Amino acid sequence: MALLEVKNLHAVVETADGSEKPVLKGLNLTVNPGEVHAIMGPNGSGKSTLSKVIAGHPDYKVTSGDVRYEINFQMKNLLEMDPDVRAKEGVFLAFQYPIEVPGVSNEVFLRTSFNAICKHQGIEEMSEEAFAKFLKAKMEIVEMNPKFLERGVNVGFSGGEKKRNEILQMAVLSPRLSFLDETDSGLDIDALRIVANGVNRLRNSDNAVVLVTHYQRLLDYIVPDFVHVLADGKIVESGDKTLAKKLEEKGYDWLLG
Amino acid sequence: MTGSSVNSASNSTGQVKSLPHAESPQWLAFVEAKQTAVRVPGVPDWWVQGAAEARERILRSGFPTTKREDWKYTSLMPLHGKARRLSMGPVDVRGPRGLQVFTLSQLSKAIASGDASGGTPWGSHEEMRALETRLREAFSRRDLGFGAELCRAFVDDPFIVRIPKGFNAAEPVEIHWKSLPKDQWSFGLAYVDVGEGANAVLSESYGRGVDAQSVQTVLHLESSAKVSHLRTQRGEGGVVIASTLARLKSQATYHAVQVASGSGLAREDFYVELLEKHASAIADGVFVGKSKDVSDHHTNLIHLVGDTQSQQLYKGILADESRGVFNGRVVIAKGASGANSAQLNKNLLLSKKVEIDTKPELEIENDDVKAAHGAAIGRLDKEHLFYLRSRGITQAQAVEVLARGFAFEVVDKLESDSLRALGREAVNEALVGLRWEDT
Ligand SMILES: Nc1ncnc2c1ncn2[C@@H]1O[C@H](COP(=O)(O)OP(=O)(O)OP(=O)(O)O)[C@@H](O)[C@H]1O
Ligand SMILES: [Mg+2]
Repeated sequence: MALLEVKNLHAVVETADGSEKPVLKGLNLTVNPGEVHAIMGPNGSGKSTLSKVIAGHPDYKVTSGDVRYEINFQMKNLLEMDPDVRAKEGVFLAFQYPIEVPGVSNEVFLRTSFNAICKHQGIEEMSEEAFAKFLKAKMEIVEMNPKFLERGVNVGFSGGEKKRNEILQMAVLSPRLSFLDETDSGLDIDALRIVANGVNRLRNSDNAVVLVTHYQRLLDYIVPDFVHVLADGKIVESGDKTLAKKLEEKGYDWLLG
Repeated sequence: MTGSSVNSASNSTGQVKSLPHAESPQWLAFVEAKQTAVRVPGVPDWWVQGAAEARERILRSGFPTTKREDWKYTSLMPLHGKARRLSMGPVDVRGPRGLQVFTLSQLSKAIASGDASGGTPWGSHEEMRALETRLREAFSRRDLGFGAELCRAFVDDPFIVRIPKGFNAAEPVEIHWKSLPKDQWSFGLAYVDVGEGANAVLSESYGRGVDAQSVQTVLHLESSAKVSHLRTQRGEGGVVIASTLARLKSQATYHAVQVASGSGLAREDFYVELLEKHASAIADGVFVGKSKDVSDHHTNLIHLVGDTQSQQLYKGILADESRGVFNGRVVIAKGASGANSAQLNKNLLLSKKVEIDTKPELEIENDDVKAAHGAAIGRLDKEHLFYLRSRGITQAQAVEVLARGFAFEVVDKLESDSLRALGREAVNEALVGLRWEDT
């Protein structure tokens, strides 16, 4: 049974001036447990929009099509769920531009989030001490300095630190379906390796990862089962990892014609 | 821990009269009835006379109405039908060893008995006379707002918390103004006298369970005294009219944090006077409004001499149809060169129907000073909310988490661990059930 099934998805974004701009124009995608998918494509083609529609951002409206997600061996309509319910059911989005939340410490944020998800899944919430210990182990996965826990969420973090913090959240929440939106952009060479290793350690046969990326380099570390090209709101080409190599050499022109 | 309870309620019961309409002249009949109040034995003449004068002033000028500039946002109408009796409010005072708690009547009895060479239970005659003089000076003031005037008029016997020279305790001194049964308007007055170099942490609370309450706290900080003061106004729909005055001698430092919430109508007049060089004060606050609450904060930071510092950060969180007022007055007197004052008021509005009136009022009679001020009004950022929700946090909880982050900035500045914990607790309690309306 698939983990995620996106069928003929059309979505518009509500722009600042109140008008609606069509972005996704009939997108199809199926993700099975244990798989890694990479989505590539030109700037502005709709990759982040797809991620946000999956996570439930209120500015993005689905006008037609269907998104189904497996919960307890049933394909459920994901679009009917509130964003926090989706997260509680294991949907995770690592933001292309992680948000700074001043005044809320990173540790409190992670604990609040973790306990909310535990509660939903009927698991006992962790005490502050137990969580601190659990968190320490997770921080080692992304080699993050503990001083980042006391600071406001992402406040004053460098671009790369923010991305690492997203993967820390992924490690803490153990999602079943993760969209990583350009998590590799802005990472230095060492950080890219650390983050990629972190993601690989979190992979298993029950979860799946969708990587949105512009660069072949990430895919050397996290080897995808499928590579898709998203252009003008649709998947226009799919293939195996060799497709990424081909795109690196030839660009997108040959597909867009 | 020594505990003391001062309860002068028994001294003045029985003004069983219906309280008239808040803006009608019948108020005055109500005040007049109090003229017959029982005099507490031992209370000095100057106290009784000052109280009579204050009542007369109230009789003459009436209760403030919204026509008065300093009350224009806040009507006392909600008092109508709430407070039917005037009473002295009971108070609980407790704190670490070395703390002294007594009333004015006890003080003046002690001074009158014993010979000049002997002492009193709290110190030498000389010290006690000086203390009475300070009290007398502070309580002849008429420029501390209507809340102070009410307490002066109706309190029979103020109580004194003496924190002597050499006192140094991390454990808080607690002053809890307790509630009285329904329909009562209770009054209370405390004089906190902090000796030279003493180091004290003070937690004061009021508002809980009251229909109407007026309290005034006056603090006197001798040279080099250091006081942190958390004032928790935790109302439950009632009316609170409170007034605070802190007077600082040379090198004294005062860090006040107010956390106000829950009162249907709250008016706070806060005065800090920097009397001598190198005195410095932080006067911060958080106020939270829900339903139709009105939370009115008038602060006054008065630099009487140069080389003094004041800092203010007031944050308002307003939900539903609540209203907030922040009026930040800063006075830098003539000749007070090198005075430095900074004021910032930030407000978080959670619905379209809230109102905030924020106004700095700078009275600066000197060039050689720094006086910064600013005000900001913001709403919850939808991207912040979505970020939290995408991590499994419900909308209601996300609103609370964000508001808490906003408010904690104020209480987290408290150095004392115990006071900071109490401040956080007060904020957490204030935020329960906070609603956000998408605007
Ligand atoms: N909130 C918004 N307001 C207005 N336009 C938007 C908004 N969000 C997305 N768009 C538009 O929708 C289109 C798709 O944007 P999206 O962010 O999904 O692209 P992307 O494929 O992620 O691009 P990139 O590779 O640059 O990250 C773009 O034309 C973008 O300008
Ligand atoms: Mg993008």
